[in-house]
Amino acid sequence: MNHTEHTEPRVYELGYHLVPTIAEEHIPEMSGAVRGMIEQISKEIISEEPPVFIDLAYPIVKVVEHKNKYYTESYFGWIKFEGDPAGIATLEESLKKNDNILRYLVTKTLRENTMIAKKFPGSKMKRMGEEAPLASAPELALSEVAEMVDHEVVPVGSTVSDAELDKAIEELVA
Amino acid sequence: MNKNKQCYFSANNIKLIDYKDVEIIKKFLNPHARMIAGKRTGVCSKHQRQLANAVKRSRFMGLLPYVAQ
Repeated sequence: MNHTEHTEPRVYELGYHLVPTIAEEHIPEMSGAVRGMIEQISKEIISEEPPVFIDLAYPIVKVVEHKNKYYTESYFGWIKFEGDPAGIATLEESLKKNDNILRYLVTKTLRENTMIAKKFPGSKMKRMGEEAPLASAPELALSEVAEMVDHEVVPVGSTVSDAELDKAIEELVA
Repeated sequence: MNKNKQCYFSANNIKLIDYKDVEIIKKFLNPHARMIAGKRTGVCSKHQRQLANAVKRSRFMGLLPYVAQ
C-alpha cells in the first residue's frame, strides 16, 4: 500500500494582489486570467471573491524594470479551489511570471467558508461602491442580550445565566 | 483586560482562523500590532497557534502591519 498517496481532495486558497496601476475596467480581465491559471490545474473552483481595491498596511516592493517600486494600494482577491501539490507548483510558476500580480499566497484551507467577519457587519475591507457597514451592530446585540440576562437571571441563579450566555453566543454566531 | 472564561474561537466553533479575517484578528493584537498573550485573551493553545499563523499570513499579504505606532 502506498502511504504517500492522498485519497482526500486537498482544498487550497489563492490570495493575490493585483498592481493598482491597472484601470478598474480591466480588473475582471486580470482576475479572469488568474482564474484561468487555476482552471488548468484544478478540478473544481469552490468559491472566489473578485479583487477589491484596498489600502495596504505597509508599502509592498516590486521590482519593475530593474527598479524598486513601492505600492501602498492594491486590488485584493482570492479563489478557493481543489487541487493537488503538483498543480500548485505549476500554478506558482505561472503566477510568478505574471507582472500584474504584486503578491500572492497559496494556503491549505477547508472547503466550508472560513470567513466569520462577514457574519458580523463589522468588516472594514473596502469594497467598491459599498459603504462599510456599521461596526457597532455586534456590540448592540451584546448589550441587548446583557439586558435580557439582567432581567431574567438575577433572581434565579447562575445556571440560567450560562444558558442565556450560550444562547447569546449562538445568536452572535448565527 | 477582561479574562474570558472560554476561548473565543472554541466558543464560536471556528475551525480555521482565516488570514483575511482582519477584523477578528485585530481583536487579539495590541496597538503596536503585536499579538496579545493567550493567557490574557483566554484563547486556548490550539487556537493561539492558529492565530499566530493567520497573523503571519495576514502581515505577508499586507492586510496587517508588521509594526504600528
